[in-house]
Amino acid sequence: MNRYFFEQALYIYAALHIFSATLILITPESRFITGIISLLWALLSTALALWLWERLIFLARQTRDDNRALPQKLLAGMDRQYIYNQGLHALKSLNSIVLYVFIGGLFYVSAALWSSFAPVVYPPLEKLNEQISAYLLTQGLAGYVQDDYYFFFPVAIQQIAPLVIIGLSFWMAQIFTYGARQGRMVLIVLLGIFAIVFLKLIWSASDLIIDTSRVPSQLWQGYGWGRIGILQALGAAPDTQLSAFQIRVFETGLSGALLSLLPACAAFLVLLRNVLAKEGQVPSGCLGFAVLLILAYADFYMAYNPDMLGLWLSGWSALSILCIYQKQGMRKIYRIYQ
Amino acid sequence: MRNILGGFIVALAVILFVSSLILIFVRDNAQKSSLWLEHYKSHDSVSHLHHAAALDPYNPELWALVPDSAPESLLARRIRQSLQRQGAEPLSKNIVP
Repeated sequence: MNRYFFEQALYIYAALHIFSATLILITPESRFITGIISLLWALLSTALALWLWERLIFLARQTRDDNRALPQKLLAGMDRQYIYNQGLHALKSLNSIVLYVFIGGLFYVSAALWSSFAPVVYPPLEKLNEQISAYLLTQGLAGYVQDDYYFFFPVAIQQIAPLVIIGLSFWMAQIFTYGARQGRMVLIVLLGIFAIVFLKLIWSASDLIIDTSRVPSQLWQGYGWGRIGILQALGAAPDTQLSAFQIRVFETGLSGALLSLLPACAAFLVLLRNVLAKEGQVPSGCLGFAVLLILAYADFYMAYNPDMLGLWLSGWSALSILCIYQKQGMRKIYRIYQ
Repeated sequence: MRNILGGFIVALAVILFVSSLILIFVRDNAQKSSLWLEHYKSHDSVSHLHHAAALDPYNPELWALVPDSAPESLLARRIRQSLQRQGAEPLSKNIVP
């Protein structure tokens, strides 16, 4: 894989964002559609990860087997064009911002898995199982054991796949911003998609601010991923529209819901640092705060809609670019005096 | 740090690849349970109902089929009412023994 692949991958990345958002907006939520989107993102991210791995190996070889004399070493180090052409700038994408966001996401996934492995069982749900069991017994079918039922794995995959897509897209946005000449162009595409999806969500929402007062305050461990429909039918959760955050509280507990805010906190602190550190960062910082605010509003106050995946995908990718601390206004000029 | 993060990203990409294949080609238990319920409705065999219950006992369509005369009938009635409010189709079969 060479540099041409990387330059083309930028356009594939932008096209994939447009394709994913279109598919999410025009088709109803289904496992198949999520699978297709996941497959395309997996292919692109695997290709880019391998390309970056190759760059890492190249860099390690360069530094290990460098037997050149010091002047030649210095000259090679000064050759910015060489570093750029070898794609070494893209290695900056493996930075602490990505690490913070990934660790935050990992905490949330761990809490959600814990809740799903050992969920709180709502008492009427247990009685319902007994009721079904009793009915099957009256029909002469004694083999029914409710413990046989194990739905955790497929449901967990359906919940984790979108999170992984968002995480990888977050990282890829950085790789292109650091390494490609037209990297910043992606930001315009992402903000365009973000605005369209947000307007569509507002257009289709019946209430712009839903009632979020009914959230259990003591439910630290949740009922498990994918159970909100059951809880609503049984009366454990309000039988009205719920926000994404409320659903997380019921499914993953307060611990999971609070941990899910960690990546947003990390992004907020990075943006704050950028704005306070340098005046030139104020416009991109404010834009980042606006994106974060819209994401928070949609998460807390809008009724959950599967189309929100498009908002999260484009929003987090745009945030990734806006979190980058730009070093502007200073350029090192190397000159050799003979 | 670069190597650790790079390795983590490769692992994520592989997880996503496998997940996508599972999402595309493997039906989840709720879908399988609904299929068994469809079989039950067309063939009237209780063993199909058994399969549906074993796969997904929390399938609301299944609860709606459990008769009122069973224990906890109040709960079953609440579920049925909730399903009807959500626009579920009225039950075509009476399976009360």
